Amino acid sequence: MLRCAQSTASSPEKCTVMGMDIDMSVLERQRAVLQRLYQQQQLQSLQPQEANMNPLFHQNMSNMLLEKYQQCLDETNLPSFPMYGRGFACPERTSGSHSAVSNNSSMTKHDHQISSSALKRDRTVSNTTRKRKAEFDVEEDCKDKGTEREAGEVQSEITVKTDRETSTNNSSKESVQKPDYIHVRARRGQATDSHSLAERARREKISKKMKYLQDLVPGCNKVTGKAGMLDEIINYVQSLQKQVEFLSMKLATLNPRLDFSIDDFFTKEIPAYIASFPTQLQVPNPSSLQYNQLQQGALSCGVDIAMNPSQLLPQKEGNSSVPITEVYHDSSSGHQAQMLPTWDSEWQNLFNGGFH
Amino acid sequence: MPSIKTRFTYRFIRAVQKLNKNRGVSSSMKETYRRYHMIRVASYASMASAVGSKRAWSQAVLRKIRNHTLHRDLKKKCGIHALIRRRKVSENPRNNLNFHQENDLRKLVPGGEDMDFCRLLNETAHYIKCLRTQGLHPKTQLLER
Repeated sequence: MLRCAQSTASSPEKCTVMGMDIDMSVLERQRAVLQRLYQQQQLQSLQPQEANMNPLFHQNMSNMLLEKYQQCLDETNLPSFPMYGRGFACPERTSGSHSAVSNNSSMTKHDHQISSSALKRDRTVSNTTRKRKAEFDVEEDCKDKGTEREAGEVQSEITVKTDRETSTNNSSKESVQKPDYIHVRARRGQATDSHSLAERARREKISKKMKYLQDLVPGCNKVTGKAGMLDEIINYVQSLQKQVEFLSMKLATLNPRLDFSIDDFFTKEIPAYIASFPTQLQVPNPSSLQYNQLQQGALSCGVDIAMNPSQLLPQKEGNSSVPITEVYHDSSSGHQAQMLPTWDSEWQNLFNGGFH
Repeated sequence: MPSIKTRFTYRFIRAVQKLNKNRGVSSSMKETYRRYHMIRVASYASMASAVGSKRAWSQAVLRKIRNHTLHRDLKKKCGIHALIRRRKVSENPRNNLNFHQENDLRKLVPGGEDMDFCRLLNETAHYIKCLRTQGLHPKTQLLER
C-alpha cells in the first residue's frame, strides 16, 4: 500500500500523462505528507504492510490534523474529487502493483486514507478528538450531498466519505494493505455519520463494562445478551444485600452474649505506644492510634483467628475480644494516620446521630 | 494504605462494639429488631466511609444516612440538583435500551438514579466488590464466637 502511495506521490507527472486534470498543489501536499508518513513508519518499525495495523494508531487524531486535511480538501474543488480519485487510481492500475487493493474504490480510498492517516499518525491524542472528527465528518457530509455511501462499501473509513463514485465498486473485504486507520472501523453495511459513530463508541464502552461485570458475577457466563446479564446482575446484587441483612440479623440476635471490649483492651497498651507516636497526631480515641501504628506487614485474606497475636498484645484468656483484636492486628498494614481519625470522627458522628 | 477490607472491618467492629456497649439488657423482639437495623446501617455506613467519597454510590449512602439522622423529613431525593440530573437521565434516549432492568438496577445501587447507564455499570461493579467483602469478611468472623 505504501509502495503504491509512494509511487503515486513521487510521480504526479504520471497522472498528467494520463491526461487527468490533477491539482498539483494537492499532490505536492500529499507527497509531503506521505514522506512524513514513510519516515514515521521507518522510525516506528512497523510490522510488515500486510499485517494489520496497530490498533493504537486508530485512536490518533487531532484537531490540527483535521484542519490540515480540511485544507487539502478545501483547495480542491468538489467536482475534481472524482477525478482526483481516478487520477490516483490510474497509476495503481498501470503499475499493477499487487500491493494495491484489489479494486478501484479501495485504492482511491487508500490514497485519501494515507494522507489522513499520515496526518493522524503525527499526533497522539485522546479519544475526545473522536468527537471533533465526527463533526468534521458531518461537515463533509453536508458538502458532499451525502448519500450513504458506506452502505455498500467495504471497510468504510470516515475519511473516505468524499470518495463517492467508487462506492459502487467495492466487493472484497481486504484489509491487508490499508494504512493506519482512525479509531472506529465501520463494518460492512454500517452507517458512519457522526451520530451512529458516537452511538457505536458508546455501545462498545457499555459492552466492555458488561463483560467486566460478567466476570464479577458468578454464573453469568451462560447467559448471553444484555437483558439476561442485567437480570443476573440484579439478582446477584439483591442476594448480596439480603446476605448482609441476614448476617446483621444474626449478629443482632447472637451478640448480646459477646462482650467486646477492644477499647478497654487498647487502653492498657497506650503507655507503651504513646512515646512512639508522632506528636501532631490527633487522637480521638486510643484505639485508632493503636491501629495506625501497628504495622503487621502483608494483609492476610482469610484472617486466621487462631493466629498468634503480635507481641504487642498480651494474651487474655476468657476475653472474647482478644481474637477480634488478633484479627485486626494481623490484618492491618500501614495506615494513614491522618485519614483515619477524621473518618472515624465523621463516622462516629454519623453513628451517634443514628443511634439516638 | 490499608485496603478497603481492613478499613471496613475496623469501622464495622468498632460500631458494633459501640452498639453492644450501649444496648439495654432486654432482648425483646423490638429491641432485637432495632439492633438489627442499627447493625445493618452500621455495615453500610462503615463500608461507604471505608470507600470514601470517590465513588458515587458511597457518597449516596453517606448522604442518605446523614440526612436521615439530621433531618428525618428531608430526603435528598427531592433536592433540586438530583431532580435535574434525574430528568436529564430519563430524557436521554440512549438510556432506555433495556428499560426495566436498568430501572431495577438503579434502584438497587445507591445513587443509581442520577447516572447514565455507562456510569451505572461502573458503580455497580465497584458496589458488587464492596458488598462481597461486607457480607463475608467481618461478620463471619464475629459470628464464629
